[in-house]
Amino acid sequence: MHFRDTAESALEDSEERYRAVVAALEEGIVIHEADGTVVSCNASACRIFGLTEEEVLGRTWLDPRWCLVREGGAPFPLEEHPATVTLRTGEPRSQVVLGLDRPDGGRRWISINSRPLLRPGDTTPYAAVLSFSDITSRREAEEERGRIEERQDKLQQLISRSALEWRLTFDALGSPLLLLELDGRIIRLNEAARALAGVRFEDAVHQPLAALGAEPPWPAVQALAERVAANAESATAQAHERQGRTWDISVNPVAGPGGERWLVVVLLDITDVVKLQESLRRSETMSAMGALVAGVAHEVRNPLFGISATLDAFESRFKNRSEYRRYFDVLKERVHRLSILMQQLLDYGKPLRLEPSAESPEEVMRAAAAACAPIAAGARVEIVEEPVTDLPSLEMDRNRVVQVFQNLLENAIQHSPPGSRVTFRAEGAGERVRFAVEDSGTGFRAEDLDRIFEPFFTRRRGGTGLGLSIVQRIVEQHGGEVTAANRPAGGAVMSVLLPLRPGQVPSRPGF
Amino acid sequence: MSLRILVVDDEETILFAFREHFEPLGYEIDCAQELEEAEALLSHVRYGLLIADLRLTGSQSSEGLELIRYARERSPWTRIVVLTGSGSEAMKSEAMDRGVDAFLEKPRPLGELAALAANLLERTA
Amino acid sequence: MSSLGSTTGGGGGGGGRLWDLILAPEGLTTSFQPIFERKDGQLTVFALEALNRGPRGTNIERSDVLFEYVRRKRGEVAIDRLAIAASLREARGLPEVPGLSLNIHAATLEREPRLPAWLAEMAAEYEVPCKRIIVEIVEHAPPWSGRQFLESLDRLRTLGMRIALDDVGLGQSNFRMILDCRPDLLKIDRHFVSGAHADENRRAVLESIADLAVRLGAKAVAEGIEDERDLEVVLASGIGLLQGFLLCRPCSSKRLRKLDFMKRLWSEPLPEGYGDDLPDDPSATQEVPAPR
Repeated sequence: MHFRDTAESALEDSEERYRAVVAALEEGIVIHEADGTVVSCNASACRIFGLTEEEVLGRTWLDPRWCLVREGGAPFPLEEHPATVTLRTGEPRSQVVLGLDRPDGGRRWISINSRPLLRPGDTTPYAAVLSFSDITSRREAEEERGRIEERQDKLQQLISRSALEWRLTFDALGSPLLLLELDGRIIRLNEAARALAGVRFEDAVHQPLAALGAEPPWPAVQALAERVAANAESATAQAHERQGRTWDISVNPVAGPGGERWLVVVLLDITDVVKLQESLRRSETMSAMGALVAGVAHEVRNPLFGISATLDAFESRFKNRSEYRRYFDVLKERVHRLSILMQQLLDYGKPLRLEPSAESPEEVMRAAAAACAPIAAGARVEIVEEPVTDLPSLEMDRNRVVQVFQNLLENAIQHSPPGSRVTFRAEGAGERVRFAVEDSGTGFRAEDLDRIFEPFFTRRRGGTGLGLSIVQRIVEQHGGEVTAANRPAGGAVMSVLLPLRPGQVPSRPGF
Repeated sequence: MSLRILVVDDEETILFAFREHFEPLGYEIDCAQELEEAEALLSHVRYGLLIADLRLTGSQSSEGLELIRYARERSPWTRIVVLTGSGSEAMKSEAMDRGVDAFLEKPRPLGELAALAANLLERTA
Repeated sequence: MSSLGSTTGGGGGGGGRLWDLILAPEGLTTSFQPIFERKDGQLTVFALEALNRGPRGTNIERSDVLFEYVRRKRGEVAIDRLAIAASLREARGLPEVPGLSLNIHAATLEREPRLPAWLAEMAAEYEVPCKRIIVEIVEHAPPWSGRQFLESLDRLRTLGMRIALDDVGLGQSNFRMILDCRPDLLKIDRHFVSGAHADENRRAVLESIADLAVRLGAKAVAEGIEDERDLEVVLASGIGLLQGFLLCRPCSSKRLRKLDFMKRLWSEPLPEGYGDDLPDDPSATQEVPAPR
C-alpha cells in the first residue's frame, strides 16, 4: 500500500509539475490525438488562438473554423499540417509557418514544431504535440523591412535616372550654365560653360571661379556672383569679350533641398541682339535726323535762293562795273558751296529705298573704279582691282552700291600718298561676298575707329562727314556689314560684306 | 503772248530778286505770297507765265499744287514753272501729272530762269 | 452799338499778311459813283454806289481782285462788314444822300442771319435812313442755298431798304434769281451795254430787260456806260437809270463834299471830269476771263 501511494503521489506530483510547466510556457502547446482531436492545450495556445479552452478542446485540425492560411494568403492544405504529417509519418516537423484567423478578425502567424508521441514499441504515434509561437509581429516587421528595401531600391533607380536626365539636359543647353557655392566654388558646369572656358570637368569642379581664367566674361561673372552672394538677390550684367561676343550674365540665388544656398549662373550670347539694337537705333536716329535735316534744308534753301537770286539780279544789273567783280565771285562761290551742302543734307535725310537687281560684283567694282579714275589720276594714285574668279552674282541696288564703293575708293585715294596704290578686292565668304578697299596711307587713329561712321564725324576740312554714314546706311539696308580697320602693314582697310540677296541676315547658331 | 509774269513765293527776297532781274528784260512782274492772292490775280489778269513754289506756308504745305490746278482750269493759256526748295518725289510727280511746263529745284541762277521764260513765252531774250 | 461785335474780323477770313492789311485802318478805301436818273430831259442823281478798293499798293487794291481774294478766303462776311462800315462812315457829311447803294455778298446774307439787324443799327448810327439804303447783291455764284438768304432779303425789305441785283444777264443773275429776290433794281452788266450801239442783239437784250423790269415793278440800271452812242441806245431802250465813266467816275466823299453846289447836285448834272481825282480801277474796264 505504502509503495503504491508513494508511486501514485510521485506520479501525481510529476503530472502536477508537468502541467505547471506547460501552463507557464509562452509558447502554445496543443496535443492532437491520432484522430486529430485536440485533447490538451495550454493557456498560451488559447491566447494565441483567441479562443477559450472549451472552444479549442474537441476541435480537430480539419475544423474549418481554424481558417488556416499559408504565407502568401492561400488556404493551408491540411495534408501539410504539421500535426497531420507527424501523426501520419511519425516524423517531427519544425518551424512550419501558418497563418490563422482569429474570431476577432485578426490574423496571426505562428511557427509550429510538432513532435510525435509514441508508446514504446509503436511506430505510429498515438498523439502529436504541437508547440508554436506567435511570430506575427516579427513577420510584420520583416514585411515592413522588405517593403522599405524595395522602396529604397526604386528610389535609388529613380534618382540615378533622374540624375542622368538632368546631366544630359544640363549639358545639352547651348547657354553656359554653372552651379556655384556661395563662395564661388564650382559645383557643376555644363558642356557649354566648359567649352567657353576651355576647361575639362575635372579641372573645374570644386575649383573657385578664378580657375576659369581671367578673360572676359569670367571676371564679370565672379564680380556678379560675389554681389549676389552678399545681397541674396538676383542680378544681371553684361560682359564684352575683346573683339568678340557680348554676354548677358544672370546670377540667381537658389536654396538646395537640404537648405544649402547655391548660385545659378546663366550666360546668354546676345551679340546679335546688341548688333541689331545698335543698327535699329542708328536707323531710328537716321529717321529722326532725316526729318530734321529735311526741315532744315527747306528752311535754309529759300533764304539761300533769295540771296543767290538777288546776287544774280545784282550782277546782271551791274555787270559792267569791273570793280564789283571780285565781290560777286566770292559771294557766288560761297553761296554755291552752301547749296551743295544743302543738297547733300537733303540726300542724307531722304529715306532709302532700294531697287535691287542681279549684278556681277566685278562689274560693279569696275564701274566704281572708273568713276574714281579722274580723281585717282589727279592724285597720282593707282587703283588696282583684284576680284577672285567665279564670284556669285549678288542682288543689290546697283547705283547705291557703286556709290558706296566710289565713296570708299575716294576716301582711300584722298588718304594715299602720291605714287601709291589702292587695292580693291573681292572674295567669297560663305553666303556673302567680302569686298575690301586697302590703302597705304596713315590709317585710322585708334580712338576714331568706333566713330568714323557717325554722321558729321570728319577730320577733314571741307568734308561734310556724311559720306561713311551714308555708306553704312546703304550697306546695312542690304543686310550687309561695313567695318574699318588698320592694316598691319600700314594704311587702312574698309571691308564690306554683302549677302547674296538684300535683307538676308545669315543665320547664327547658338542664339 | 502776254509778257506778264506772276511769281508766287512766300520768300520776299526771292520776289524782289525776280522783279529786279526780269523787269529790265521787259517783262511785267506781279508778285504774290499767298495762294488766294495768286488765284485772285489769275482770275482777273492775263499772265503768260506763272512761276511758283510748291510750299507757301511752312514745310508741310502744298499750296503750289492747288495753284497749278486753278491755273490750268481758269487760265489755260498761262505756262507754268514750278520752282521749289523741298519737294518730295511724290509732290514732283503730282505736279508733273497736273501738267506743268517745267519743274526745277532751288536754287537756280536767274539767268537760266530768264532763258526758260523767254523760251516758254516764245520771245528772244 | 453794333450788335455783331467787332467789324474787324470773324466769319471767315483766315488771316495772313494781306488780310491784316485789309483789317488795318485805311485798309479799305471807299469811293462813290453816282447813278443818274433821266427825268424830264435832265439827269439827276438817283443814288450813290459805294465802291471799296483794297489796301493801296497791294495786289488786292483793285476791287475785282480784292473780292476774288475775299471769296477764296471765304471772308465775305468780314469784308462786307468792314466795307459797309467804311462806306457809311465816308457817307457822313454827304448832304441828303438820295440813295446809298451798298454792295453785299449773297454769301454774307446766307451765312450771317444778323446782318439785316446790324445794318439797320449801323445806318442809324451814321444817320442814314433805311429807306434810302439800297442793298446791292453781288457775287451770287454758288454755293448758296437760299433759305436764309431769302429771309434776310425779306427782313431788309421790312426795314424799308431796297434791293438791287448786280450782274443781271450774267451767270447766276438769271430769271430764277430775279423771281426769288424780287429786286427793286436790276443792274444790267456792262457786257450788254458796251458796244450796244453796234450790236442788234445787245440792244435786244437791253430792251428785254427793261421790259421785264417794268413788268416786275422794278427799275433797270445800265452799268458801264463809256460811250455816248451806247448811252443813246440805252436811253432808247427805255432804261431810265445810268451809271458809267462817261457820266461820272467814282470819287471820294471829300471831293463830293467840297463842292458848294452840292445841294444842287441832285438836280443838276455833274460837271464833266468830275471824279477824276481817283485812279482808275482797272477792274472797271478790263476784259474779265469768262466765268465758269
